[in-house]
Amino acid sequence: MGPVKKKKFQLPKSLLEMKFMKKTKEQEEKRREDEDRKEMFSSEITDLMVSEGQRYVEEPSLVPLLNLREGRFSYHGFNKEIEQIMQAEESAKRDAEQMRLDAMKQEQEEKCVMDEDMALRMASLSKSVGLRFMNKRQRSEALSQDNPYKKVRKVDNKND
Amino acid sequence: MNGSSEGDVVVPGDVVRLTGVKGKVVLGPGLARTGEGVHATKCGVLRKGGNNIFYVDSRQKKYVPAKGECVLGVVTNARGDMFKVDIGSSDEASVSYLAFENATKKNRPLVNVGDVLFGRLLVASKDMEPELVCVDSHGKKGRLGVLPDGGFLFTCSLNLVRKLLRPECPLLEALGKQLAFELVVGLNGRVWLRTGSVRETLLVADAVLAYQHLQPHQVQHAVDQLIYQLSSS
Repeated sequence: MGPVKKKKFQLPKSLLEMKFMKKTKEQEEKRREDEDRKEMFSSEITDLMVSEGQRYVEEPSLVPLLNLREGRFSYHGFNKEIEQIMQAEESAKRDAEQMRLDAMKQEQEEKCVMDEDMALRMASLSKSVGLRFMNKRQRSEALSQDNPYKKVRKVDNKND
Repeated sequence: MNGSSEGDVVVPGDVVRLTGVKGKVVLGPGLARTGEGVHATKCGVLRKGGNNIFYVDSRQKKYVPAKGECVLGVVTNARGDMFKVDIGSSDEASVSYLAFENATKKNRPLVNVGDVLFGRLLVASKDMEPELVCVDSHGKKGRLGVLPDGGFLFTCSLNLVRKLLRPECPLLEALGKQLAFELVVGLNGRVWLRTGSVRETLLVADAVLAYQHLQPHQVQHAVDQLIYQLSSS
C-alpha cells in the first residue's frame, strides 16, 4: 500500500487474447480497474481513512452496549402473562449459570492429575528426553549438576 | 491537539482521545468518526463500557430513535394500513396493522386513537420516519403490544430510563416486594404504570422519579419510607 509502486511486468496483449489465458486476463483486468479506481479517488480517500474506517464500529443504541433489560415488569400477579415471561427468563438465566458451574466442576473432576503435578512431571520428562540428544560429556555434566553430592565425593576422592 | 479522555465532560465538537484500546472500537451514541479522529456530538460525560466501548453519558430528554429499542408511544391515527404513533422523536413513527400478534388482513387489531403502544423500532434512520412493530420475528408479542386501559403515562429523562433498565437496578425489585403493579419503561423516556389505586400509582411514580438522584445503597431505605407513608395515612 506504499505511495510509490514499482511498475509490474505486464503480459503482452496478444498473449492475453489466447484461449488458455482467460483466467489471467480476467485477473489482469480486475487489477487494472482497481488501480484506476484508486487513482481516481486518491485525492479524497487516503489509506489511513480506509484503515480507520474498519477500526470503528458505530452503534446508535445503548441497549446492547449496557446490556439493558426489556422494559416491562409486573409484580404480585398484576399481569400474569408478563410475570410468566419474567419467570421463564429468570429460570433460563439460573439454568445457564448452573450449567456453567456444572461444566467447571466436571472439568475439575475429570482431571485426576492436577495441573501442578502435570507441569512437574513434564519438566522432568523433558530433561530425560533432552539427555538423549547430548554427547557423553554433556550428559555426565548435566547429571552431576543434578546431583551435587556425587561431584563433591569425586573431588574428595582426588584429594585423598 | 489535546483531546478529552474517559471521565471528562465533553461538548459537541470536542476531539476524543481513545486511550488504552487496541483493535476494533465501538462508538456508542454521542460519538462520531469524522475524517481521521473521533469527535463528540453530544454534551455529557465520556464513558467507557466494557473493553473497547465508548459512549457519551448525556442527560438529554429528546429521544433520537435507534434500531431495536423498545419505546412507548401514543397512537394518533389508527386508520389505513399504517397507524401513526407519537414516540417523542422529531417525526411520528408508523406501525403496520399487520405488525400485531394474530393480525391478518381480515382480522384487524383493535387499536384506537389515544391507546398506548409498547413497540420495538424496526427502522430508525436519519432520513426516514421510524417504524415500529409489536411482535418479534416469530410473530409472538412477548412483552410488546397495546397496553391495557387504566395506566398512567409520565415522562422522565433518557438517563433515568437507562438507569432503571440496567440489570443491577435494585429499585423495581424492592418496590415489587411490597406492592402489586405493572410497569413499562420505554427507552424514549416514557414510563407507563398501572396499580390498584391512585395513591399507589402516585407513590410508585414518585419513587421512579426520585431514583434519578439515588445511589443503589439508598434505594431500600427510600422504598421503606414510601411504604411507611402509604400505610400510615
